[in-house]
Amino acid sequence: MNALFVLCSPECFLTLSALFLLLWQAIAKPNYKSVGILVLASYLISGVLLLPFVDNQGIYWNGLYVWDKMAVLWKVFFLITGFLVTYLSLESNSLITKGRAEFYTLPLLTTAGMALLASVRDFILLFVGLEIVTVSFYILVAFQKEFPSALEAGVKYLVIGALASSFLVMGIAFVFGITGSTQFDEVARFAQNNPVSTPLVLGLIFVLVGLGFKASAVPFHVWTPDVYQGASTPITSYLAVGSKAAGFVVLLRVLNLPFYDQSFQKHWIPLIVLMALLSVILGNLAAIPQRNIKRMLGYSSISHGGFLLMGLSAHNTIGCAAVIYYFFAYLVAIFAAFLVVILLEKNQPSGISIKDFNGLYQKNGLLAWSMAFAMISLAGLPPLMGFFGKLMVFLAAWESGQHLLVIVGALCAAAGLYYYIGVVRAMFWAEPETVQRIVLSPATKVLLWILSIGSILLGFYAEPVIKLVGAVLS
Amino acid sequence: MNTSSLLAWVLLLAPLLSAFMIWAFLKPFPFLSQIVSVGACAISFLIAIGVALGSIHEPVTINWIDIGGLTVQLGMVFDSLSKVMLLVVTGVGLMIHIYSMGYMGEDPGRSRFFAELSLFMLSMLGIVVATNFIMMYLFWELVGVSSYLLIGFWFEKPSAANAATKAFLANRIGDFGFLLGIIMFWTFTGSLMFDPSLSSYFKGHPLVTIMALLLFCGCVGKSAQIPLHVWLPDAMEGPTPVSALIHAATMVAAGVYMLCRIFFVLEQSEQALEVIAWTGGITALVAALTATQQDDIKRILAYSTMSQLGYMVMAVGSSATIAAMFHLCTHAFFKALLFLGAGSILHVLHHEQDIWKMGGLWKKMPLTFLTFFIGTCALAGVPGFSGFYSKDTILEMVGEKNKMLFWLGLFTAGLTAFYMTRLFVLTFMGAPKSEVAEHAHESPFVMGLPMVVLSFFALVGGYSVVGIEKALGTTHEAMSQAAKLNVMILSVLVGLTGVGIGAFAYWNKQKEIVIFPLFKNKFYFDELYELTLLKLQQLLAGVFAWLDEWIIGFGIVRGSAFLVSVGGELLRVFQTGNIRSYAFIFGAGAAAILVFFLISS
Amino acid sequence: MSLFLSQSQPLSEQINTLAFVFQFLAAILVAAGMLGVAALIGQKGRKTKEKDIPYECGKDPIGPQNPRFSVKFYMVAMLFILFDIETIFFFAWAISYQDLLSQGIGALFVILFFLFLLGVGFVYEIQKKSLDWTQRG
Repeated sequence: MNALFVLCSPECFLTLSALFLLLWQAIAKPNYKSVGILVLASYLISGVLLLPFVDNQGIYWNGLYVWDKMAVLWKVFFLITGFLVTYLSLESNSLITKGRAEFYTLPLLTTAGMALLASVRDFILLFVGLEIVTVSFYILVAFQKEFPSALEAGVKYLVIGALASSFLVMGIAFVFGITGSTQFDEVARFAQNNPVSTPLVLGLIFVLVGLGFKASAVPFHVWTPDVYQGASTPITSYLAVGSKAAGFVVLLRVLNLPFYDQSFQKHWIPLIVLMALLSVILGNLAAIPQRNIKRMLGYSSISHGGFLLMGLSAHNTIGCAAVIYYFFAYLVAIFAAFLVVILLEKNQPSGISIKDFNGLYQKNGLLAWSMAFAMISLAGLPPLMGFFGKLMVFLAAWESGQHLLVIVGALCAAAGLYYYIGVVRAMFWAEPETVQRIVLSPATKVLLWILSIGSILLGFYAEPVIKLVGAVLS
Repeated sequence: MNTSSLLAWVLLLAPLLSAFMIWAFLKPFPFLSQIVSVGACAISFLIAIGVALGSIHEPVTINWIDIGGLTVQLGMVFDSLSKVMLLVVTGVGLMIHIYSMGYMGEDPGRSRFFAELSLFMLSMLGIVVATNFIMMYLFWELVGVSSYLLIGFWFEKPSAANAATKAFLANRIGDFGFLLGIIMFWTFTGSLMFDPSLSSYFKGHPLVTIMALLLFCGCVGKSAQIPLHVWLPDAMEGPTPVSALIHAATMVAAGVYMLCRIFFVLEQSEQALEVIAWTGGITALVAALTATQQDDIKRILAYSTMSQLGYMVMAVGSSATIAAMFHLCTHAFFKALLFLGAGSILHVLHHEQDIWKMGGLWKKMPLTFLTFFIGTCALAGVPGFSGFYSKDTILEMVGEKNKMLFWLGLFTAGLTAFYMTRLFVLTFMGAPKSEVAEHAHESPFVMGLPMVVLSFFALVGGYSVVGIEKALGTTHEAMSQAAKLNVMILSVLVGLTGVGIGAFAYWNKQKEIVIFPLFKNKFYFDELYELTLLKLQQLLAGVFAWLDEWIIGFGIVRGSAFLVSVGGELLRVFQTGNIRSYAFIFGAGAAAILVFFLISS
Repeated sequence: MSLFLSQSQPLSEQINTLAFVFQFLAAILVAAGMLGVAALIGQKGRKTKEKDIPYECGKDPIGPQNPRFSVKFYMVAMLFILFDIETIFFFAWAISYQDLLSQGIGALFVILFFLFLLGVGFVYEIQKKSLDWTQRG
């Protein structure tokens, strides 16, 4: 049973299929498109293989690896992310000229790393998983090496990422040095039985700094706008959803087990609150003057990181549930937005600014509506998913006494409306330079419909998702 | 789920389906869209009648969200408050739907118009039947969105698009306070229901005033109270039926309705009520003063709406919720009527909105003239018309609580009579003052019918036989009969004085007699906001743009093409410096956090 | 120092903290010391234009100062490092293999899987002609 279980886990299956596809395309040199479709199939198969083990519970390999409901939920989340990223990559194939097969296959490994992160219960495994994700992102970000901007983004991501990793390792080293273990339960037990000393707190802070990079929380956000703008659009969406979620799933794990103790909480809560506050303010205000859509979404992603941290700062069940729900809302909205951006980029590879959305409604109504729903959901207006995410985050934070944070957050959310609505306004109420109908493939149409309707339905009828999340956390 | 329960849900489902169907399928068929939309509204109206008669009961509530102490239900509440409101919303709404068929008859985008109208009906009805804060907030925002869409319906006009954005943003500021208030309520009580028994949780708590005021913020935005009123006059850029439906009869009244709904919270804090009453009173006065000097027929009506809403808010602040709701109902009738009349005039005058270019229309448009006359009398508070009774009730109740506000309200009543007479005289009386006014003719029947129906209600709505006031609940008779009579005589006197001065001053006049720059320029609110808010925002945006440009980005990505042309050497120098500064910010951030913690621990 | 040491902590904790402080100090000292000592005792040579050219005597160099290598060198070097580093894992495995055998044969499979991964990488590398000098790019 154990062996089967391991083989069926997404991390294992995705790695194997990635290896197979790499070899196959190196040897047989098939059509690029078929590689992409096989990658899509791998995600689907991996999801199906997950089904029999949904209800499994357990901690394996001397506490290295945990399989619980939350892990499964996050693995599913990452599988959906990977699937959509690959679909977006297939849509944007005209932009990637070299090594397209690798461009499709590498995200399999990244997703495997993310799925691994969903199950970590040990700092060493945490580091390994995070590095799998980060290193593969170094390559993916710089993939369009004929564009200087992509190379530049890659270098920036590499340097800052390496810096963040070094902080993380340092933190883990401190934790290990004091507690004598890297296993989460052991660390938690140590904190219960011993006073928390300064070096241990330093370890905690270093770990949070390293993870702050992934979550692109201020002041560790500096790379975000440049890298989002420079990377190719599918990868940007992957960074926005996958990479950020990877950071947060680790934060959820770390803050709720090894650093859960009261003596730790009194140190990390102010830190998380501070980062949330700064992220929300800077992200929303700096996004206002942006013209490039990807850069704007970069700043918006910083602000969403802030809202998510707000949920974490509540350090209660409803906060964690809010974070998970918020991520699903974010996934739906971000992928809809980036899919639209990719479709527009086909005609204009040099980059899309807000002005290029002018009169999109006249070019293609479905595109305009999908983008509008995505923007409204990101802005957090009811009845879309984004609203409930924000509402739950605010409720959780308020309940745990972070009143100032909630007030500032609500204000910034209102300010953020300005730039989201700017896009909507451009699409519906501005005259385009040329009215040229945009033709969509049937699959893309279906996907856009699903994302838009999902965003409304799961917002209006949030019960099933929230129930699911609640069941996961209990 | 039994039939009655199902029927109750149809109240909301009919407009929802209509909006969806028009958007999804009926776009190319404007006529069919009209029929579907009007039909949906009629169905809602029938159900509202069923509700009012008591044959349709509250449906079973659906558990919507249930997690970790947060329970939100989808339900409906049919009490006296919502029954009356349902009738008003669906009734006036139906009239306006019918009217729109004529008014929008030639507009190429009328399918979209009717879809948006249906969406609006859905959200408005949602607010009325909401049983809890979250449900109300949800529909509250939906109302905001649909009003945004409708104000900006003629989005080709930049002024319309700007007005839509302005309305949206002003409302958001109010909603932000509302949301905080809701969150506060939830932390106090652990529930989100409109349940008066919950008030025991926060009775006497020092923070209850803040909570009440935060909740009031929602009303300030939606009901256009000072200081968030700036959007309402601009919102007149939308089609006139929209102005009638949203910005006179229903949506702006939602704020007042909400205040009545949550009165069990407000009444816990005397100070909050005081603030609410004064906000309403000042809004009523300022808006009335502004209205005396406007030239645009729709703007005058907009300011008068604001002023009347101020009355209602003042009434709520004086604990007279029933009087407020009573006035809300009568106001819905006569203000919708006035707007429809104005629309009828604009329709034949080819959208000439300046009252100084009208005149002599009484001969050309007899039906419009007659109905508009009834509306004016009702608004001016002429005895025998509905507005008189409801306004009187408010003044009585206010007078009981606060003498200052009473005199303020009385003065405003005089002003109202004055500016309405001015409007009426300039528009209908005298000789035509422009070419278009010469060639005016009566509007089509489909526009006339709703006006007739509404003018009937504007006439009789206040009579106790019709029983609107009684349906709302029993008014307490604290005042002696003599004092009541005093108030009535005073208000009749003031009203007649206003009418007299207005008629005397403006009969056959060609231009404004005296100009008060302060009133003419709407108390300089727009300029004030321009100076403070916009400047502040520009400053902030500028600062961040600068930061982004020079400290964070240094224009490398955006300016890479430029830099490549300057030379690779330069680029390399810039690039390395750039990453270094990134790493520096990262490191500095980490160091700052470390120092902070070492010191604090 | 009072920032780190408090009276309430037990002695062992304090020693722990002290070690940490010493590590910090040592790190700063080493870094600052190297630079400082070099600046102090090192002689600053005069910087002239002639001194900065690669060959201080003889002809002035022609063309770019740093010779350009084929990118292939870097590629091969990177691949070499990758495969070279893998031997470190073998080293650790080989040392503890005796002990691991007592827990069963699993340890063998682990390293075999590792070898398999390396093999896949190797095949991929060959197929992509990364080691082929005649290929461009």
